[in-house]
Amino acid sequence: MPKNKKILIVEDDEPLRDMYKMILEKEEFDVTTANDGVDGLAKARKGGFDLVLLDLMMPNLDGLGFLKGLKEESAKTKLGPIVVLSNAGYDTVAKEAESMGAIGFLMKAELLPKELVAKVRQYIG
Amino acid sequence: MPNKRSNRIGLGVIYFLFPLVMLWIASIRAINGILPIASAIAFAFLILTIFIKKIPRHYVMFLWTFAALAILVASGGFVSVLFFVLYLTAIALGFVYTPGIAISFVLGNILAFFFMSETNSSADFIVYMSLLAAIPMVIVLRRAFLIVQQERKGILILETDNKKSGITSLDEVLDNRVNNVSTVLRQPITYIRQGLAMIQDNKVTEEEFKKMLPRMQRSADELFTLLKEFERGTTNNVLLGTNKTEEKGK
Repeated sequence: MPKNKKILIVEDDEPLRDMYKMILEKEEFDVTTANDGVDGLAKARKGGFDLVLLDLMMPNLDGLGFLKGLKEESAKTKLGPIVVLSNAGYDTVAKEAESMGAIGFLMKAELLPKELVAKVRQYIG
Repeated sequence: MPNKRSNRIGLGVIYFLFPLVMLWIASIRAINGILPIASAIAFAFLILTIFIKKIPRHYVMFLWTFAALAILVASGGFVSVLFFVLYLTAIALGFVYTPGIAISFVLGNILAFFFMSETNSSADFIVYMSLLAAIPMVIVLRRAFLIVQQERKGILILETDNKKSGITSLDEVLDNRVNNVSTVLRQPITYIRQGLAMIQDNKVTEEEFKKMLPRMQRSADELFTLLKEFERGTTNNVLLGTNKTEEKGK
């Protein structure tokens, strides 16, 4: 996977955010992080990401709010697929996220680094 | 959980309209005469449902409501001695579904009585008050039932009270304290699992390792605290601290 594949991680938990950044940067992805939905939305609006990994439970604006905000301006934003990466792994939540534009749902606690990288590669294609 | 919510709204509308539809049916002379038989058949089916496993509760509740309203209408309406079946139905709806659906049913009955009532006497007022009395009764009984269930199962099944407007499925899931705590507990577990896997795979530099170690320690402490608070919040049992254990040992 070429180094210029850009990933936006929207995650409020700093240790986890740093962990994901470290894991993906070691695999030569170009990672940008955002610490909540508002920050994430501001960065996503600029576009240019090949994949967005989105947490759901976040202060200020949660993941569903992020998806809603992005959906309203989807025509203007050039953005890759959005994959939810959350520990609120419930069917109803996943369905709602998918109805709002997410293409997949990954359970944080179940994913080991190798699996995360494999999934990211799969989603970026 | 939009589907669940729209189902509840749909059921609320159905049970609100139920008494009005029954009232309308009773006004048709040709049908009115067969209502006692229809009610008896419905009750017979209800008895049969006891022996049928996995019968959907919607069918049972619908059948019960029909049977109750039919027998009530056939036996004199709101002045019938069988008036109590309305309370039973409201309570059953409150237990099987939600108090909101039971309230819809009571309000439907009040509206039906309003259409039926020819005078505006104090007797009417008593009927209105009597019907309205079912609402707090349903709420109090259901809450008491949930508390009993909660104590029996040893887990917290009551939802938190701070309902928000514009609720999403995420809010609904997190309103359930068990799901909420489980979701929060998984967060430090995630960090520990990811960190350990990275260390095992020799994917971290010494500098990264030094940074990760205290964070893993903090995550483990966070897990322990969360679990302790959850246990206290749900069972009211306070975990003994080391000092207290030692004191007891003495």
